[in-house]
Amino acid sequence: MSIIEIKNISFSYNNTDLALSNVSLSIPQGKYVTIVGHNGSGKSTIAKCIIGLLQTSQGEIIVDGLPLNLENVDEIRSKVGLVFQNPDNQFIGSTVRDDIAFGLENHRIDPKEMDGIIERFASAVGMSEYLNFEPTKLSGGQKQRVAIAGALSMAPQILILDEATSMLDPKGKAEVNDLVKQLHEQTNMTIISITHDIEEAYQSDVVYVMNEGQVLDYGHPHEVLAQEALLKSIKLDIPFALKFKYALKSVGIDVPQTTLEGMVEHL
Amino acid sequence: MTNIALGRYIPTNSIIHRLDPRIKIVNMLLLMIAIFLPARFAGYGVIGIIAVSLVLLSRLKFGFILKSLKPVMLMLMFLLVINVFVLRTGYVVINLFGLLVYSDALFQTAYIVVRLLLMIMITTLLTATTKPLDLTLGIEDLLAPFKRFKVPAHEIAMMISIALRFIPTLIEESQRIMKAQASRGVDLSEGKINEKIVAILSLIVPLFVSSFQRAEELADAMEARGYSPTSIRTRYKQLKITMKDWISFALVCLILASVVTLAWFV
Amino acid sequence: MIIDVEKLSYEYSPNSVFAYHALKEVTTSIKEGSFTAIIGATGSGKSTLVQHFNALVTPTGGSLVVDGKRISANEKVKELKPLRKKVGLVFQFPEYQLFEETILKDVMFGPLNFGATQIEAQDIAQESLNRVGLDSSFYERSPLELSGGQKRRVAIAGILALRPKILVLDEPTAGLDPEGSASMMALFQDLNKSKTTIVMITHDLNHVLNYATDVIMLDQGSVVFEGSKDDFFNETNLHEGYGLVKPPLLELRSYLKAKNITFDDHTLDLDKLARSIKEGQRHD
Repeated sequence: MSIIEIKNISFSYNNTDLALSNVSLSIPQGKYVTIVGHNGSGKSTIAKCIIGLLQTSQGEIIVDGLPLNLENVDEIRSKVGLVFQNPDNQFIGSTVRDDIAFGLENHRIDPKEMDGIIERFASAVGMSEYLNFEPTKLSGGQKQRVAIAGALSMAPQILILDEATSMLDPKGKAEVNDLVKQLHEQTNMTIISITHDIEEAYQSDVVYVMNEGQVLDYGHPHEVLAQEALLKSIKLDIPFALKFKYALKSVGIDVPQTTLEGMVEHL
Repeated sequence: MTNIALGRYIPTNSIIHRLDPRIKIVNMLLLMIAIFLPARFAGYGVIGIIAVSLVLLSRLKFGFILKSLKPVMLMLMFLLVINVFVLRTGYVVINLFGLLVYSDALFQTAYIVVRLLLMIMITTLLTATTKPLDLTLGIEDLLAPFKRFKVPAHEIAMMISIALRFIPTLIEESQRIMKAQASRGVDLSEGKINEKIVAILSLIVPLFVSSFQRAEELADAMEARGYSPTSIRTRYKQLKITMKDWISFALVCLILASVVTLAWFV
Repeated sequence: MIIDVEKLSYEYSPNSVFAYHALKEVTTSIKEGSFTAIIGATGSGKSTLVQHFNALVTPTGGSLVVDGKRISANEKVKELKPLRKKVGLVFQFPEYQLFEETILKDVMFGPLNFGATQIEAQDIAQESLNRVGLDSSFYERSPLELSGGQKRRVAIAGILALRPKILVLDEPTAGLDPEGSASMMALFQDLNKSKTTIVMITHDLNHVLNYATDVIMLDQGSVVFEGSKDDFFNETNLHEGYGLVKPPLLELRSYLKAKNITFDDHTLDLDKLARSIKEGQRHD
């Protein structure tokens, strides 16, 4: 059952080069999907197209049965939570509280109920102690967690993370990735992570590989990302676990597993 | 940056701090009107006593208020000199080496000085006892009735609150840019005028460019979260007017009335 | 030693409620010609330390000597401009500092500030742009047209144009994709081979593993390790914790150790590791 159907969309920023060229994607409901590609492959453009921030020149996008058009765009935006790359440039409120409240205000939630909702979602992302903090006093990872809380407070069916960890330090990346993993395990939200981190993609349920505005391949990461030649040709590397597997193979040791722990167990 | 006295919020948590921002803004406007009525020293005396009491109530230090006057000192000196030469009515107060100084020159200057002092005291009281965001909420609510005249009250308030949120971020960013350009040899203390202009551009242009990009990304984020300035939205922060607000308003009206009386009926 | 740091301390806002000791009597040094990685959790003092190298900041305690020039606390630094040329400092996300109308002009900005003539500056700028992989088709374009990775290369060219003896980089690959990151590191490795001392602040232990010769690790303003890269990974456990993320190779080593599998635990090369496992199997 796919919750997002993208059919043959194309998009160009400057009317000359196509950022997206005849792209089709099918996002299965409830899964953790990653879209990988190098910078400029078109992957970041997709997120903005899905919620209508950018208008495609052809094709159609259907979100939870609703076709994306002027009438449905607001409803689609409430079904899809989107976390952007720059932690500062999506933090609107003057404090954590105010920022989470922003989305609630837009959806006309009763002010009397806002405190309860804010506290619940701040707690869900581990930021309960920071409710009155200003953004300049928060780390990148903390700001991104607040952004996730803001997105979650709208009870979306789909959460899209558009390179949400690219600008973070390793600690911040781990905080956000752990939180996302937790969300995937504890809810049936569909999660789409747009990233160039091949190790993250290796942990997902479904991966789409993009290059030059087109989808090259998709499927289960353990199969798709094992294609060394393909990945190298589009300037990506294969996951470390697979590198180890191939290194062992070249000295004559065959390990059928595809995770590091599995391989070590086998040995 | 943190040394600017004028306009800064000082959390001394007094009763004035706890008044509703809308009432404080209205009170301030009424007191400003009172200051400009021609009530002469009697009127200024009344307002002055009130102003001093307010400062005491707000637990702000007088030194802080006087610091706010510093920037205008020079201008006031200049004004005094001009008035002495231009205003030659009233009686002669003193003869300075042949220059006759008239009473009206001194009185008129004194009026201006007193008015300025009172104005600064009142506005500083407002900004020091009211958080910038609360001020913004107050402005938004006060402007709301003017929406029928196409005044975009909400949009103005949203712009102000976003600007306030980003001021510290922009300050940090400008410091980073200065360091980066200093690492490329920018030294504002030397160089010919055209070199200095390029150096200043190297600081301003990046800030502008990044601000435009920031604005675009912010707009996307706001839209993604369902924002539309023209749609109805609720507001998290609610302002409440209590008894002490009405009392302060009543007092200010009383003061205005007394000053009006002193100006025209005494 | 091209840089010697002696009991260097730096305190932000001394004598105020905001006083904060970013560096506490740090003593360390940078070998000439090395590729030294400076690592540590965010807030450990790395950026503050390197900003002393080109005198953007001066010590509040102690001193340092940079290529023969001594900078001490409480002494006014004379003639620090030449130091800014000798030590090129590239900040994080340097693409934000571009401002000129054309890429060539932006890269010429640095040399011009240090007294080069227009012709000299132009030559150096072209050479620097070529060095970072941007050919003549880029010269007259506006820096704002480029992609993030390209803009970053222009910014780095702007510092290379100063022909620094020591190149200090603050997280130069932050936000880049794997290919961008690899080509950037290859550039620095190349510069290092041409005798430029490289000092790089990084969170990516993979980069330290693959490119660095020496490591200095800071934690809360003090040095907790200084020595060779091999010693750092092989002789200590410091790469665990401290807000650092273990490179997968080292994760693998931990798993192998935990399962008592024989292997060469002093190699940092995956193929050698695989071979040593095979050897180990033969022996068991």
